[in-house]
This record gives sequence, structure tokens and C-alpha cells, in this order.
Amino acid sequence: MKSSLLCSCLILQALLYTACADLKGINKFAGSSCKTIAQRFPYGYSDYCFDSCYIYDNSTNPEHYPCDCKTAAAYDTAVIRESGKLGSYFTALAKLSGSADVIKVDTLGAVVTAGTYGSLTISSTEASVASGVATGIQDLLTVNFKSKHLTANLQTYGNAVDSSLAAYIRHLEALDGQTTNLIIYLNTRLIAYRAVTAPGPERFSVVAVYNQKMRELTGRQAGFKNLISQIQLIRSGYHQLVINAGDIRSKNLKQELLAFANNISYLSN
Amino acid sequence: MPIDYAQEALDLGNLFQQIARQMDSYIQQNITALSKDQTNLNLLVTNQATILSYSTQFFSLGDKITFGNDQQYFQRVDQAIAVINQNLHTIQQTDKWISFAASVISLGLSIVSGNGSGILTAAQGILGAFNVSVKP
Repeated sequence: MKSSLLCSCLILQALLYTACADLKGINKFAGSSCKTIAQRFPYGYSDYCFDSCYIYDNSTNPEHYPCDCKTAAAYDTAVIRESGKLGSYFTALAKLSGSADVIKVDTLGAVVTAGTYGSLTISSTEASVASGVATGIQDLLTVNFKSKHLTANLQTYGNAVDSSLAAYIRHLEALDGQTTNLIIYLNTRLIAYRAVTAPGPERFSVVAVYNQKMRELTGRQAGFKNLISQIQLIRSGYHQLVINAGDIRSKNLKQELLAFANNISYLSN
Repeated sequence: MPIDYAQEALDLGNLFQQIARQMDSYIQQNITALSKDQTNLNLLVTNQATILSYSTQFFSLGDKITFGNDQQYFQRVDQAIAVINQNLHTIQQTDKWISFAASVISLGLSIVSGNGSGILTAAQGILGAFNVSVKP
């Protein structure tokens, strides 16, 4: 009897593992994606505004204050909200596809085992029935119900999510472009200034400040480019997922998504 | 095929940035001679700043770059982009840079102000600078 129960448990575990493994690629990819999308901007529009407002300022009017960055802050908020929606989507995708739900089912199966729980006793028959119910629930949630749900979700919302990812990448690329312009602008001015100014403490001070600002901007920009690369990977991976929405348990898709997830994690580290 | 305006704006931002970067390289490589010719040095630096400001505007425009009947204008802009990408490295003289920069600034102004005929004229000037014939 015991060995039969043990065997049933092993089969159930194997089933759980198989079901879990089927969607492991999607789960890991979605998990990495929501983590990446949730991370803080390394350089936002407000940061850019506070840098560009005085670097580009040519006004001779003493009353002119160029650094009013309220609009930039509002824009940051809008972009963050946009990315927040994407993050929520990938979080939901991770939950629907993933280990969290499987663990719940597994926990349910594990809890309902023969034994005494306070004033309650679970007989081995009860446990066996519970195990069967757990398998049914697991089958419903993890295999049939979830697969259909995911497929329908990807087929219904795939284009919208892809478009949203594309728009987010454009936001980031536009900001990256503007930051690069600042660096080019400073570099050219530094070259011209140094060529026509005699060496000495004043030139040293000016050159030092220019270099410091360029180094700071370049460093921030590197983080920004890294974020763009990660979002581009998410988009490419998601594109593969949508293309294969009708066969989300395929081994090829799983391998591709795991590779995307690994690359995203590598870049984020 | 409909115009992807947001992408068009990004491409233009990148193009103007690339031109400004190339000007930066030219100034750096020729700074010894240019330091003795401050008029042209100032002109190059000022023109580059203007080109950068257009680049920045394009980056921030998004799909607001659109204006009426713009299909033919953007076609010409795309032609100019392709020609500039292929030939930008061939500009190796200060006077050529100054005149090329003036055409680029003119193109930027025409796009930002939605001046269709100005776009055609400026793009033609850019193509002509590289001896490229224009398809009607």
C-alpha cells in the first residue's frame, strides 16, 4: 500500500515536473522580463533636462532660468507608467505560465497526505483522493487550462504588447540620442576651447569640468544602452513567443526563450 | 506603405547626430589649422550646434513630425539620408563642410516648419553636393 502510494506520488511529481518543464521557458523569460522592465531608469528625462538646460543655455538675460524641468518629470512619469503596464503584463505571464502556480498545486498535493493535523485526521484513502483531485487541478491549471489561456492571451494581445514594447524602446532610444548629443556638443566645445586658450590654471579648470561632465554622461549612457539592449531582447523573445502561440510547449520555443532569459539576466547583472 | 512617423523622426535624429559627430571628428583632426582660422572654426562649431539642436528636436518629436501631403517629402528625405550615410566620410575640406552644413540646417528647418518645397530644395542641395542625381 505504502509503495503504491509512493509510486503514485512519484508519478504525480513526474507529471508536475513535466508540466512545469513545458512552460519553464515562458516562465523564466517572463520572469526576467518583468524584472528588467521594473528596474529604475539609469537616466531619465528629468536628469537630461537638468543637464541640458545649462549646457545648452546661451541666454544673456539674468532673469532667464532655463532649468524648469516639470514637464520632463511628468514625461518620466508617463513613460514609467507605460513600462509599468508592460511589467505587469510580464508578471501575469510569469504567473500564468509558471512555477508559482505549479508550486501551489504541488503544495496542495503535499499537504493532503495521510496523517494527523491537529484534531483532523486524513486517511490514506482521503489522501489518495486528494492526490487525484490535485492531479486534476494541476492538469486543469498547468496543462490544459493554462495552455489554452496563454495561447489565447498571446494571440489576442500579442500585437498590442509588441507595439507597446516598440514604443518603449523608442522612448529610450530618443532619450539616448539626446544624451549622446550632449556629449558630442561638449566634446566639440572642449576641442575648440582648448585650441584657442593658453595653458594655465583657468584652462585646466575648464577642461577638468568638461571632462568630468562627459565622463559622467558617458557612464550614465552606458547603463541606458544596456537597458535598451535588454528591452530589445525582451521584444525579440516575446515575438518568438507570439509566433509560436499555438505550440507554446514546443522544445524549440522553450530553448529559445531560456536563451533570451539568460541573455537578459546576463545584461542586467 | 504608410509612413512610420515616429521611426522617421528617430532616423532623422540619428542622421543629424551622425553629421554632427563627423563634424566633431573633422574639427578634432584639423584643429591645428583651424585654431589659426578662428572665423571658420567658429562657423563650424556654430553650425554643428545648430545641427545638434535639430537632431535633439527630431528625437523629441516622435510621431508629431507629420504634416500634410508629406509622402513625397519623406521619400526625398529618405533618399538624402541614404546618400549622406554613404558619402559623409568623403567631406574633407573646411569650405565643403561649411556649405554642406548649411544645406543640412536648411533641411532641418524645412522639416521642423513643415515646409515641403523647402525640403525638396534642401534635399536636392545635399544630393547635389555628392553629385548624386535626383529621381523625380
